[in-house]
Amino acid sequence: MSTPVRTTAPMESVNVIRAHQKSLLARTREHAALDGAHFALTSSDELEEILHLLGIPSIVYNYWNFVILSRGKGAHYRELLEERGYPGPHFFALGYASMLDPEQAPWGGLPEPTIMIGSARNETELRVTEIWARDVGARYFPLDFNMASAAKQAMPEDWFTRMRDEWPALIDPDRLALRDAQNRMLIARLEELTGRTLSFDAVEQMMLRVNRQMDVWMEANDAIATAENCPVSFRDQTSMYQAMWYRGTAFGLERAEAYRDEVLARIAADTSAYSPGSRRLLYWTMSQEPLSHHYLQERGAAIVGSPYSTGPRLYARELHGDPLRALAGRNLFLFDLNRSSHWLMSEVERLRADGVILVEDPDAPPSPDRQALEKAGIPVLLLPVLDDSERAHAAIDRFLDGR
Amino acid sequence: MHKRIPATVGYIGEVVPAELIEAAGLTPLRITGGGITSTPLVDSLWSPRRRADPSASADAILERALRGEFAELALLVIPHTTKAIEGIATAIEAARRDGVSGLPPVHLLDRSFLTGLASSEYNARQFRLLTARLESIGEELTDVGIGRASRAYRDLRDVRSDLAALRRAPGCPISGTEAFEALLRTWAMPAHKAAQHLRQVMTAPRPTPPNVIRVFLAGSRTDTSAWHRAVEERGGIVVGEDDGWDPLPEEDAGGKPLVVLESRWCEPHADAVAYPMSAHLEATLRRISRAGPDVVVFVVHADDGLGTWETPEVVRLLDARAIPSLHLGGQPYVPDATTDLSPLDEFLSGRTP
Repeated sequence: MSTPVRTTAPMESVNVIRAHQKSLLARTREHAALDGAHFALTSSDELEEILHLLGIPSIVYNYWNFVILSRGKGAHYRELLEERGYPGPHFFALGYASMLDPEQAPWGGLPEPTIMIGSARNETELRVTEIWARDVGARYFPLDFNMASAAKQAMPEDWFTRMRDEWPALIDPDRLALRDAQNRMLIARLEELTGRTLSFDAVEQMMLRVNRQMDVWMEANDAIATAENCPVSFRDQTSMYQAMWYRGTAFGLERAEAYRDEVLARIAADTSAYSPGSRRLLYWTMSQEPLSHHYLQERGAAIVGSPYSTGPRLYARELHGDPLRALAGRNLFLFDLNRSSHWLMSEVERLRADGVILVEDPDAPPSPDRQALEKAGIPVLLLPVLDDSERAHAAIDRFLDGR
Repeated sequence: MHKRIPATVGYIGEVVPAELIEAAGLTPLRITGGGITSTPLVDSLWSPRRRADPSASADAILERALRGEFAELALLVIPHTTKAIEGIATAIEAARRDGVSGLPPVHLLDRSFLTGLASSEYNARQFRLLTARLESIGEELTDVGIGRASRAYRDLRDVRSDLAALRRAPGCPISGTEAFEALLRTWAMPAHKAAQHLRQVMTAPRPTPPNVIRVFLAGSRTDTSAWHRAVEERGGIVVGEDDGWDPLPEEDAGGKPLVVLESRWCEPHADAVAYPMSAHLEATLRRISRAGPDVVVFVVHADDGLGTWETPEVVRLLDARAIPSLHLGGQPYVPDATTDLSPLDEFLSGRTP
């Protein structure tokens, strides 16, 4: 057996995404400056597919909030929001704040949106997007959402394997009808605005391409799961998620295929992004990369997955003859929002994880996830995301040394 | 077949049509968190990290449910007025699946936060689901029964309006704490008894209070008098709060009473998240204007996304009307010894009525 080759080089396929995203704002600003052009801000997981089909460039505002944080601008914009009388929490409004002071915004800042698609996912999101749209004079289209739309009934334990095909049976039918109607009304308004017409065939092809993109992406993620050594750094795994904003587009599918091919090539060449033989850890949070990731690597641990790397599976839907209804179904039910830990336990098994990193207070009552893991005898590392101190390192030492 | 007629149906919030519960031959009981701030059962069963919209006031209700305090209810009606309140229904069902005993049957009275035909139709359908559920555990809903219950609740609203008028009358004859606590007591009573109780409270003799600063209390909805007390211990008197107890418009006497209730349910409600925001802001300004305060104090709970983003908007509108206000953001559901009340002290001290 050959000796694995260690590489710290970022993946080419992921670098293409990074470069694309970095130039996105410049391209979008250029487009928005054109006479009569539209630019939309939207919640994630909503209607990016439709906006693509209507030729409306869009940026997901949740993503933009994370970009602001990752560029170190969070403190500045929090202060600005405080000055404007908003006591916080501020995360969700960082994007709004960046438009109040665009000079400080990353990558030259957002162009002013002409369309804002808000969500009633929670009160803060609804109100911030409403205020934001008003202040920039954008047309505002909120969409309804209800956490209980799926949870009016008990989810089966294996919802994550059944949702692709059985989604109509897992969603409250009244809520599904409401969201489907709201989506169709929004599409009609967007057609009026753009003068374009959305064809049923185009939506169907787009949704089928979403499924294909997610399948290809999961081929890569499954290959990472079965590879002896993890071929992709956690940073690359997470950055790849930006391809999600291009769901169902030719570009999105190309990026998934390039990523899969490069992952398979790395595995064929026995290339590892971590020290060979590293302990395999699942990072079970949607938070950013932990600051102590470097120390984990030094101590011979590899992050082999997170909700982001298993997420693509959740976006695929059988259309059952109506692509718009399938889209509404996905809008309402992307995750089981109950306390079930079955998805986590399934990922532990799929990724062959030796342990799981959770972000929770060790002194607080254990979460259901932690309880489930401990009951199953799976080691748990409780790690604060923003702590790279000796204390965090000591916790990592204790965990890896089995103390 | 013998049908069991359960005695009591719990409900959360002003938005639930309690008239329907009475009309179905059931006893409505408005559920509150009772000011509970220690929630070990909630903390152990439902990690805040896994919850989309944690809220201390909703957690207080959930804690009481997990303690088994609502075990005797024939039903607990939980409206989708905010994500946190809706989360109580999700949490109770999850706890039930975990084997927790003593939990009441739950009915999630869902509603769309938006406007438009699809939302109206959706809300109407949810209203009809509630009527069917109530009929399944109580009596058949008839025009006569609903009409009788509606009149009782209209009378109660009228008495509450009288109480509100007494509170804002010159000299503020009744303190906000006393009035609000009286209102809280009525939440556990049928409408006619509640009206009777409030009439007694209004006519009870009490000393004329000293000339004090008239405060309108706004911000997060509350079900305790703790913040009223905090204001009144500092020289203010709460002459009104931002609640959904507005007098109802005259209804079409010829209309079917069920249709009247359904129409009311389908409209945006001051105690439920609604789009557009202007509906809330206008309602708040209307209440402030009616109460005629010297100042407005906004107490916004740390977990109240709606209050956090709406309050600065109202503050700006008050500034334009030269009405002084204080925005206390990030506050607890119930203030305790660790709560910094110095901004409230500073705001009220030195002010003259």
